[in-house]
Amino acid sequence: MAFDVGGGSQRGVRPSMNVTPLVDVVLVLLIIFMVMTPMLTRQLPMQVTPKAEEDQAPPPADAPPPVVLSIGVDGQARINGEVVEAGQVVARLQRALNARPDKVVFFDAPDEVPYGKAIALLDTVKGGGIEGLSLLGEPLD
Amino acid sequence: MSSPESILWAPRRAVLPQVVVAPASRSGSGAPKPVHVEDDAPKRRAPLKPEINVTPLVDVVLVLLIIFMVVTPQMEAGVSVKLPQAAHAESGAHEAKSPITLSVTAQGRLFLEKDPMELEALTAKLKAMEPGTPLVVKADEGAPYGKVRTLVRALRDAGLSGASLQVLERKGGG
Repeated sequence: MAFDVGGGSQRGVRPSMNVTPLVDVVLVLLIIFMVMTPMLTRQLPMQVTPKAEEDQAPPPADAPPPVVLSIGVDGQARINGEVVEAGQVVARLQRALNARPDKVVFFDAPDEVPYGKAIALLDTVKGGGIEGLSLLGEPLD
Repeated sequence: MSSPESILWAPRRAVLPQVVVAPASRSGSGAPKPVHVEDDAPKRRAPLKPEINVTPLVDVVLVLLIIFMVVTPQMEAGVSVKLPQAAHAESGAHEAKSPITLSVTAQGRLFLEKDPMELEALTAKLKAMEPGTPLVVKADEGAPYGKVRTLVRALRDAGLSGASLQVLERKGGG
């Protein structure tokens, strides 16, 4: 495969360019771009905590409390209101979940906390193997 | 493309002998006269060499490549926000249905796909959605969490059970 770049067929040696490698590389680049485009997005799947039913029976008094993870304005993680060190969050959550039949961690953060910090904490929890993360629709007290 | 080398070099081989022959004929006549290579060449080489003109192909492919490179960053669903990074996110490419994208900008404005929306209108739209539609939440990493929570409440009020938070993959696993 070659195309003429000069018209000099009368001069003897004709300069010609081998474009096969060029087409090769460009086609591969094109396919890479087409395939990669939808695969660039990554997601953290979350549940949304359903609204409490009006006629729902209150949980028994001796039931273990739900596990609520939150993040303070200071950036520190809290489990059920208690400040927990960043390295301890996953271990503490797992211990708290073992006492409960549902393996759900509820999450909320104050209004002014940047979303990026909330994601960083959720990512840590997710990395610890805790899958049942549920976002709360109402702010914590 | 099986043997590009042979196609590339075949015409040159056919022409080469003329380079040797041509000066001899010129020196004999004394004056440089045009050598009719084109007339002689077909007789010397094999009848017809099949050749593909790849110039249009290269043209089209290069243009496609440039279009893809330019359009790829703009093709993202929803509005453009600075996504937070996460190391343990899952690939979102396995969804069968194309997801609906909800965006929260750094200023806290809500968008359904690319349309700015107030919370009430958004809740109504979400309620009208058929159940099972995958939802993707794109929030700016600087957006106040309170705005994200209003979106979560809208999802809850619409009776939806879950959504995926879109993030960028953090490089290096951290």
